[in-house]
Amino acid sequence: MTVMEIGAYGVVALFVLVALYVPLAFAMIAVGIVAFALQTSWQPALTFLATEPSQVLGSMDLTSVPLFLMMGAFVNVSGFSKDLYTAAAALLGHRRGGMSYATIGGSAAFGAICGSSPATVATFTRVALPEMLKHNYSPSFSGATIAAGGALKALIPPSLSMILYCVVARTYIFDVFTAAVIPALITIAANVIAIAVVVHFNPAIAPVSAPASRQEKFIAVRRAAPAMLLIAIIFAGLYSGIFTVNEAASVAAVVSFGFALVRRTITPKNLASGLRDTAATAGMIYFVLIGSSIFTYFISLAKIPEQLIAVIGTVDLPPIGIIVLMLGAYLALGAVFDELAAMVVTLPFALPVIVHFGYDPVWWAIINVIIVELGLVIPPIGLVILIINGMRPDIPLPALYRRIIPFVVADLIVLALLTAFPVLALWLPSMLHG
Amino acid sequence: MITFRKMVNGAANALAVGGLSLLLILAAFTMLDGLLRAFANYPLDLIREVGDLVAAICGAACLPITLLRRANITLRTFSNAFPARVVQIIDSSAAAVVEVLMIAMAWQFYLFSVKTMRAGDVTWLLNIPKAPFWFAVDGILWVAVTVQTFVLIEEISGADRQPSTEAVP
Repeated sequence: MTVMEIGAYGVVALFVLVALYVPLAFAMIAVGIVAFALQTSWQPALTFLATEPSQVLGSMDLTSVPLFLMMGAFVNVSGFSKDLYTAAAALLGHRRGGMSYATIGGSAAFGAICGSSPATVATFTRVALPEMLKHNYSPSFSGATIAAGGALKALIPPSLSMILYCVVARTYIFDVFTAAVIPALITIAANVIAIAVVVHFNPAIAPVSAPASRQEKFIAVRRAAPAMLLIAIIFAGLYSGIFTVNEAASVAAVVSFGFALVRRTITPKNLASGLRDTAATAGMIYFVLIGSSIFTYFISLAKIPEQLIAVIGTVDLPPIGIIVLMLGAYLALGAVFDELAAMVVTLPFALPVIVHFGYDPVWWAIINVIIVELGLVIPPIGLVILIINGMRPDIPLPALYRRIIPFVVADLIVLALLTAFPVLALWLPSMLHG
Repeated sequence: MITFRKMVNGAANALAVGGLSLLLILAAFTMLDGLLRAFANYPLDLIREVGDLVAAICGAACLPITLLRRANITLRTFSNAFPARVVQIIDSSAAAVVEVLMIAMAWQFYLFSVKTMRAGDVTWLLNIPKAPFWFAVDGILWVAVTVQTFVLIEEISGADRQPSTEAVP
């Protein structure tokens, strides 16, 4: 068999295994090992089963994954989500759509100290939804706002999607975290504008509430102070260069554990439960990274990226046209494929193409993460929508999908902006690098 | 089978809690190292020396529970298109693939650990042997193999699944 044939069969085999319910990580490992063995011999191929796990598991940088997830578990039991939401609601609740703005703001803030989008959504469905319903907000609009706020998490550092991207693409995590700042702010603004437009044309779905008194505002903000302090510690430490990402994750986990202890909200039972959930998720990420690492060797040896670039070179389109086609392909892939999985599988193919056309891998990280974010809310998968519907079956799925459309449009506009103007993502890292 | 289930559950859960508790302790020392380095110019060499080796044990400790809960990313887009019996056969085959790869991984890791021991690999400053850490990781991988064996038996017998974990992005 020629190298090209092995490459083609390998890619097909990957999709066949995945379609046959073999976990993505193990499909990548199986294809990577067998295809590498066919190109060289079995002995070096099998040694990947030891060398790659030892590198992935022994990476201090990657300990940030379970540590940030642990932080999420600790802040959850500390009640920080409620504190942040109450403070945002006290400050913004009196405006039309104010509780929705509070949900977006609270989710964005909580996203900075919580490990995952689904966790943010599940938490805000418990915390924010009853409050919004109490203020006569439309249930489906409230649910859609929570979904949009939760999906935002993917774009707010420390984001696991970004960490995964950086490990697979071998890009500096700090650069990607920095590059995400302006796009995250633009996305928050776009979501706020989406709410403003929706409530302007349909005021009945978000009635105006009575304003909170000055004392109520003060108490709410004071109560949220520890959560804000934690956010400040992580961001200031990370962006000032005092901490590495791993150190920031260590501080985040230890400090959030300390807050949970001081607040006496942590018990042996919820501690063990939180650690078990964290371990299951972290283990999944470790497996994916081991799989991706082995798979990348096969891709490189089969020279698949070079062949892909040669094929794309025959297409009569400018680079931006190729990028737009790729974005379309990702969004279509997201309809049948988990976006995070799609990112990990396609990155070894897509990244060389991106770099070939002169684009920055750090910019592509942000584009990828926005696609992950979109995938969280777009049907038929739309994981965070499914979570809300699972927790509140009385809010029908079709209504949630309908109400999420303005937020999806807002995200698509942000995606178009970032595609047209990569400088929006790359300006801050370049400034920090001097 | 019930005893086996209890044993596997207990081992996977204990490793998850123990591994992440160890990681939290490592995080506390990493934080202390950062503070001492920044403010007292007194880094903790031990953390730099064995941090990645301890991290490997902590990371490996997460793997068995991931297998037990079937928490790996699996695309089941067309699961409704097949009869239950076909889905069970596909699930069992997929679990068998995972089992074979886990056995291969644990075996290769054993060979890797032996090689490290024979080469007398030590950390560069404090000369701490690396092999015991890798043998510990390998031990955990064999626990993961046992857990996957249990999962495979459950898939073949069509027994109830463990609750799965949430997805992550």
